[in-house]
Amino acid sequence: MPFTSSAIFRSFVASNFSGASVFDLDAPTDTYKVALYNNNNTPDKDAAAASTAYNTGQWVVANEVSQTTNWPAGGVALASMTITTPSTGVIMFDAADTASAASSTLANVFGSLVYNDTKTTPVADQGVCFNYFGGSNSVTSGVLTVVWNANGLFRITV
Amino acid sequence: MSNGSAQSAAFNAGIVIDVDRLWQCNSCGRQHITKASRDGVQTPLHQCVGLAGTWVPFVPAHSDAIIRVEERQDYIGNDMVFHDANGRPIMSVYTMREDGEDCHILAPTTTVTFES
Repeated sequence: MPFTSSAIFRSFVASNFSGASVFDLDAPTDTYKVALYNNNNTPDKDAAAASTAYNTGQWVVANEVSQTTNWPAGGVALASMTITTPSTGVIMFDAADTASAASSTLANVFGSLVYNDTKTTPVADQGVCFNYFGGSNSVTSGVLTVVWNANGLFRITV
Repeated sequence: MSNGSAQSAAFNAGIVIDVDRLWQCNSCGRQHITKASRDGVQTPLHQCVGLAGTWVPFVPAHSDAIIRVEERQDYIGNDMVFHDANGRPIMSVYTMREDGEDCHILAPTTTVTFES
């Protein structure tokens, strides 16, 4: 079963609450990256932490869409990351739009993985969330920009 | 330093001329100006009245670039996606140029509810 929806990894939430690994998403010192994927993987929000990491589980390089330095394997760094509380009961994670270099050619982009590229323990490159774009996207000799929604990358309601 | 030598020093330091670049939207006619010194920095998206309020990029003025809007190809589920004024869920916006194309993916928001 391919990409069908977006989700926050359960292990990401559990890691934060248990203290196993605390992820700062507000102007962090850690680097977080966005890697692009085709539709050959089957994202699982309930996967164990180790299987949410970049180049593990469903997120192996074989399923990744990249092009040398334009949108390199491993992804492009997220910038201007913020955690805000925009309305009653809502917590929002947002970031600046993420773009490739000029003259990029990328095909079959169905979704993305956001992961921590700094921590090495207990899990290196642990995933935060995945966003399904809703179909196949591509770019030819141009710039591919992921425009994050005005409601953020993810939004938690309590 | 005399006034003449000050002018000479300024001349030797070089004069930077920052040229305006004109952008337009071929769908709604709206225009936007950037400085050439900021080339490589993306132009802002605008909510285009000609494309049902979809967020689309500007293209260089007097170019024949065409904007194509792609509707989401799958069901929405719990994701928060962008809808245009006609209620269509929009997946991405393509700028078709003579020498290639750009793609703006309007990524959806992942939603989670914590229950107590």
